[in-house]
Amino acid sequence: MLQKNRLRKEAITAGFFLAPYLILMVIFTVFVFGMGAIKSLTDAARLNPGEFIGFDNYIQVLSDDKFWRAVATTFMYMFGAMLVQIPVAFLLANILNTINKRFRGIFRAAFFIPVLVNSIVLAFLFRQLFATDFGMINWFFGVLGMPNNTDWLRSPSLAVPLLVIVSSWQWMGFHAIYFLANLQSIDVTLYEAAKIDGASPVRVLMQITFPMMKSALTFVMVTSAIGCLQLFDLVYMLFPDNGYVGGTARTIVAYIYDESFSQASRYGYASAAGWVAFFIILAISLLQLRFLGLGQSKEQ
Amino acid sequence: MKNRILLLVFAVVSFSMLLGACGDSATPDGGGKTITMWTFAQNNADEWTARKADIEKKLNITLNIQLVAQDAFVEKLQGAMMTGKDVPDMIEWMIENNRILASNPKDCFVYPLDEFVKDSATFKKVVPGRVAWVTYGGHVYGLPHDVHPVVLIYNDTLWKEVGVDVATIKTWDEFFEASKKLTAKKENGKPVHYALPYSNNGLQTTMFMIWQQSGAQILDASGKPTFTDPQFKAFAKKWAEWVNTGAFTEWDWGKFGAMLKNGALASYTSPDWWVSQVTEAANEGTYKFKVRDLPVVSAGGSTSASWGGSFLAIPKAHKDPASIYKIMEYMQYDKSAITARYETSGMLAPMSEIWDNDVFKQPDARFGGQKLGELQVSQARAMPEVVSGDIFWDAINDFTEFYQTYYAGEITLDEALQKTQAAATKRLK
Repeated sequence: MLQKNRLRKEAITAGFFLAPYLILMVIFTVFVFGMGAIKSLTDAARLNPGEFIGFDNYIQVLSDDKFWRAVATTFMYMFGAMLVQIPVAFLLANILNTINKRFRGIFRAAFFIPVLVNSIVLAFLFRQLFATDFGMINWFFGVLGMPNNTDWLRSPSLAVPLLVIVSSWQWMGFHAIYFLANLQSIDVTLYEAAKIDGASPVRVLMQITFPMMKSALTFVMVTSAIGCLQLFDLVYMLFPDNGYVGGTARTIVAYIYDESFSQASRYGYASAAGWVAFFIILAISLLQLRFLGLGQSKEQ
Repeated sequence: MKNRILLLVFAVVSFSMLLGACGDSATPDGGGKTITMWTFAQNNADEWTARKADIEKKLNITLNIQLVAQDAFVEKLQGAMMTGKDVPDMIEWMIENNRILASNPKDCFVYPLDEFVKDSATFKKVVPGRVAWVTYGGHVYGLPHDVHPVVLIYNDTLWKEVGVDVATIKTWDEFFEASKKLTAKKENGKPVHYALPYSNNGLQTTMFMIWQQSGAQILDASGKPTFTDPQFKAFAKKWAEWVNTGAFTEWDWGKFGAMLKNGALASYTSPDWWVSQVTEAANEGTYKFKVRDLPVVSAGGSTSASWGGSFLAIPKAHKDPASIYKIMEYMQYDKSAITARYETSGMLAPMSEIWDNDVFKQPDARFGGQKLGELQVSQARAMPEVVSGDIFWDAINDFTEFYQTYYAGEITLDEALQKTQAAATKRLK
């Protein structure tokens, strides 16, 4: 009986502390999601609250080439960014882990600074760097006697690579620091034992470092993938002409933005596109979790 | 006799008072109400704030000017209109990508002003070329604030150094041919001077201005896209030729003034709101700058264009649009105020009846004493009309997308135009 009372009291206290967050979540997340879902089944546009049209918007979204092109762009960017950012960040973390502690702090700070730069500022900075006629990159190529007329910001084939470069510059250091923190938490006696057993560096990496870093790697991969799938601000500011470099830089979120904030302002349609995007991101995240095993206990 | 004189004096005084009252009737009486106006641009807000006391006194209102962020303007207005709370009495909003005007008044955020403008002697004096930008499906939705006539500003020193007198150039073909001399001098494999700014981004900036001169429309009178029509095709092909001359450098908003100052940019097409970019370079005195009308696209074509602008309109939620219209018309077109506007901001109002004022005939030291105002007025008079419509701004974005694909060499210009036409037609559906 006493135990029961104590548990009830604890539940009430927990509820009391959780209430502010839950109330805000219901108002700003659940309600908004719900409204979005309702809107997606209507032809709402501009001031018109819309009439129920069933799944017409979803059918239209899924049959729109432009949407699938945006999906392809987003995926290309996601794979590109993850393929560059995660291995390099992992390498950086390992290098940082081996250097003198005094210098480590300086490098850590240097790697972290790009994360603090606002994406809009970052986009402006890179726009200046990659400008065709007066940008530093073309100037540098010119100095080296190489072709210096590349229109970096308006070449469809360069749009995604450019996004990967810019976002990698911003996020790689952040990932490296996360990996470094995890590397430092690995028990050094494991490495010492491996050394005594004569394990090669590759074997140490594969059989000690990787397994011990699994949860960190999974976390970085899942959060990176979600971040990549939600990319918008960088695209919008780096390629400022509404043309998204011949459409090759239009991401899923940019597609939704265009539909919402075009002259027609098709909110119903954009909501449907938002929900499709949500399910895509959810599916990718679940797949990653399934294959990488995040959230499962070590015993499992 | 004395009584008769007194009666006569009384009659004269009464008649004078009556005349005075009649004169004042042109100025509406707001009855002491508070009129809330939203505007999106700081310089416009500054202009209204400067005139606030005068407007309030003349119209017997309290003017509440609210500066609303451009990015949030439409959403905020939509929210206010849907909830019916804090809806402004009038709005000042931008012409480009406005997202609130539509051919069908039902789809519009603001009242059509047709019934008010048809009887308005004042409105009849507004330049038709500007009214066209706020006319959708035959409905006039706003009172244009400005004309934004475009002129060609050029660095006379640099052009003359390569033997070109820009003042004598008649067509854009001649201009781009001459620009080859200007861009011939190179450093690190790149021209030291460029003839014009443009970022290869479709119907934007310079292309947007020169396109208007061509007379080619992107929508027909019924609002259908016309990107594949021979006239637009011919212009697009001509534009591609001009781009290939290498005359253009990027339109860099942040470095524009600096590029004029260091001579990297030798000329630019400028609406009145962008003329000030040359001020520092002209005042520095290294180069002499001049100004002229635009060379024509083809013989007999227009020498003028416009770019940008805003308008006043009445949100639909308002219960008495007729009285707001009167207030709005006075605010937008009060002669003395809009004449003074040119002196303070350099922006020309769209009322032709004020254009003969001496204010517009003053020599401009930046251009060696040339009369910029006079030129802008003649440009305003020659302004070509553009057919606007529901999909106009979205179609321009479609064109930008496919133009970039063409520019990258992935499709031909014809394909780009066909794809734009298809995308714009899909929007119409």
